[in-house]
Amino acid sequence: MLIFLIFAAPFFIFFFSKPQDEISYRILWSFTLTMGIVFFFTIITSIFLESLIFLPVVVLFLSTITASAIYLYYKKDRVSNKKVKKKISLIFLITIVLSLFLRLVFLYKIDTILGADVGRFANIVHTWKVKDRVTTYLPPYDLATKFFYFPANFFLPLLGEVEGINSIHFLTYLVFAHSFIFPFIVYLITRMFLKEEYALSTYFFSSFFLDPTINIGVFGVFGYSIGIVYFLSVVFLLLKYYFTEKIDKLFFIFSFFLISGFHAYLLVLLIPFVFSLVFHTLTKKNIKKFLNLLKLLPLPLVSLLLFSPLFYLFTPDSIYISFNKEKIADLMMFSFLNRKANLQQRLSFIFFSTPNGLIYSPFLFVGLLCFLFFMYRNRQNEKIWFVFYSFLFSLILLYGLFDDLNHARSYWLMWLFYSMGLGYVFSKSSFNLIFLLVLSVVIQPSLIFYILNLHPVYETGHIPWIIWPEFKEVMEFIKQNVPLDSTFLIDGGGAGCTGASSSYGERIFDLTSRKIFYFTDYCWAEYDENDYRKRLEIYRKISINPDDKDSIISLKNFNVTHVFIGPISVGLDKNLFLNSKYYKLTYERNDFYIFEIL
Amino acid sequence: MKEMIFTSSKFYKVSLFLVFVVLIYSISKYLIKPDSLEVNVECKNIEVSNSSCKFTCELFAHCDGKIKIRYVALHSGWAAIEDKMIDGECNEKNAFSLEFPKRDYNYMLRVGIFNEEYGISEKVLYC
Repeated sequence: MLIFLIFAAPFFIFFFSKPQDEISYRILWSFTLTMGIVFFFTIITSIFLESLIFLPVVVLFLSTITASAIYLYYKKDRVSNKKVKKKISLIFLITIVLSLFLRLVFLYKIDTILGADVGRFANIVHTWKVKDRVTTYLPPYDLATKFFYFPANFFLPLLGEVEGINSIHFLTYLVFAHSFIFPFIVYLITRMFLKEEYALSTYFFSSFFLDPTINIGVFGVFGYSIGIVYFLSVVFLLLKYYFTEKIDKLFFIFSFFLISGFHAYLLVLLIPFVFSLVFHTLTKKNIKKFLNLLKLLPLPLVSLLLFSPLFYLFTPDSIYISFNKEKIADLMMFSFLNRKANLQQRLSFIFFSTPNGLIYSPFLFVGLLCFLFFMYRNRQNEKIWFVFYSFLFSLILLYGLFDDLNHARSYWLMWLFYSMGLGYVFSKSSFNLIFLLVLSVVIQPSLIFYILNLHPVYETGHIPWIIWPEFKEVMEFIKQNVPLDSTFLIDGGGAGCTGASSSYGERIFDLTSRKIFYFTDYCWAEYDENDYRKRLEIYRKISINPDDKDSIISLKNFNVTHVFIGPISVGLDKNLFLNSKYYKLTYERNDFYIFEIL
Repeated sequence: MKEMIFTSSKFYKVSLFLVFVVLIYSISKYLIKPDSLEVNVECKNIEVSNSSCKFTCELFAHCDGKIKIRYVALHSGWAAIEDKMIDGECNEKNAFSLEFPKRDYNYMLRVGIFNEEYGISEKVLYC
């Protein structure tokens, strides 16, 4: 419970403070607060019922009722005499309800995110549950003997595991809850520079078209995705302090901690904004403001001091892992395509691709044009020059960081500026809701486009990497029919620091508690490299010839009892196993195969 | 006079802006380790059977002294089917061999070398 409160703290501190009088601000404030409260109580209820299945319906139901009540209240008492305000608030309310509704539809369709970090950290946390303690020594369930990752990534799935909730499903839900908050903070930032109607249309674009939390989240990189919300909160607080000299210190301290806790790489992205503020003071030769900014310096330090025990508690000896040259070389290979990209490719990535670099969209080109137009039209406005400085500094930073794949996903920063530009050019909220939302059916990376084009990973090989019903059926079969002390050889393996196999065989462990014959290397961990290579060698030989006696004996020496092959088979060929006398087919359905080693 | 002040103020702004640009770029570069060694890898498919493909590869690194070579063959996304570490020499041909199951896709060979510096290379292997 303490863990949950730490995570919820920034929102509760902020939303329990008195909101501004502006009607749109109040609606958003009330709506997000309602979400927070509903989320909190639903988690508590879920812990007792050990299920999250009904959660989306509850959230939708309660939030809609509450928001409608708030709207009716304001319509009656405050807005009835102001026609324009009334229209704005109604359109805004519809936008927010739609934003939530579409996210819930998306969540319902996705059900569970399987990819990348979600599965990886769920595995680690499940190991802790099986071992009944928090440890960085994971064998025999995983190869890592020590590891480091930003500890907040473990807190919440651990909460799920301890309380008996499926941690992968739990993380999926968290990504979506944060994605609903994201455009709200974009709205707050925009409101500092632009009028209410522009901020509202920026909210529209940020919510339905350019939401990096969803884009990165469905890819499975949930820590970074959730961290974005806390990063933006800090940016908002910095700006608020700069322009009003007021700061919510507790909110800042908690948010700063959560950036470091989820993905410290996001701290680097504060550079353009901090530098823009400093640049702004120096060009104005406003020493007082500059000194005021310096007064903020103790806050990050207080944050780190306050929360360092938590870091230590969850990863007591992880700080001693060595980033030796072999691991650095591995990380470099992981970023090969980025490192070898030419100038044109680099700029195309930064300006026009989704944060994972997989999709180029003309819509992002329109976003850039709108932002430049917005800057041109407001060139006389001194305050807005701050936005332009931030844009240019972000561009320089992103270009400089391009060689590192982990930093490279920070392209999403451009989306902030694009949302603002699009919101400025397309500022008619009713037009946006009627035409653009419909048009978004064919626009990548819009929310509706993703919802309509969701496919299981085995059909496309691309994101969103999601669970599908057939996968659940196999997991259920394993739970019911395969002994608990079994170990699975899975198809695929892992290199480049991730361990993502093609058919998500490694998820067998956290979903069924049956062990995996792991052969994954990690950049952020220590492990017995000889053991890893020995395992990989067995896998390679079995892939070429499943009847290879030496390899079968080796598998048995590792207590491997079963083989799992999914719809995307890479190394392991089901036909070779079907024709072998050393394996017995125990499951065959929807292109999933389980063999028992005889 | 007014014009001079304007010009000087503009000059100050531009200079300051450039200083900030250089500073940000330097910070970003400081965070990234460069791959400064040049590496060439050539592979030949020497044998194809019904079940596997065999390759021999030669790696040439433009550097001085000894190097460590890590080669990783990927068969889907980031999933490896081969991952080995060997010792090598700079400015010489360093040979190694590979054998993969025969499938309807290609393998991606990634090579990383290091001594005091780092180098990387990539090769698609058709099987």
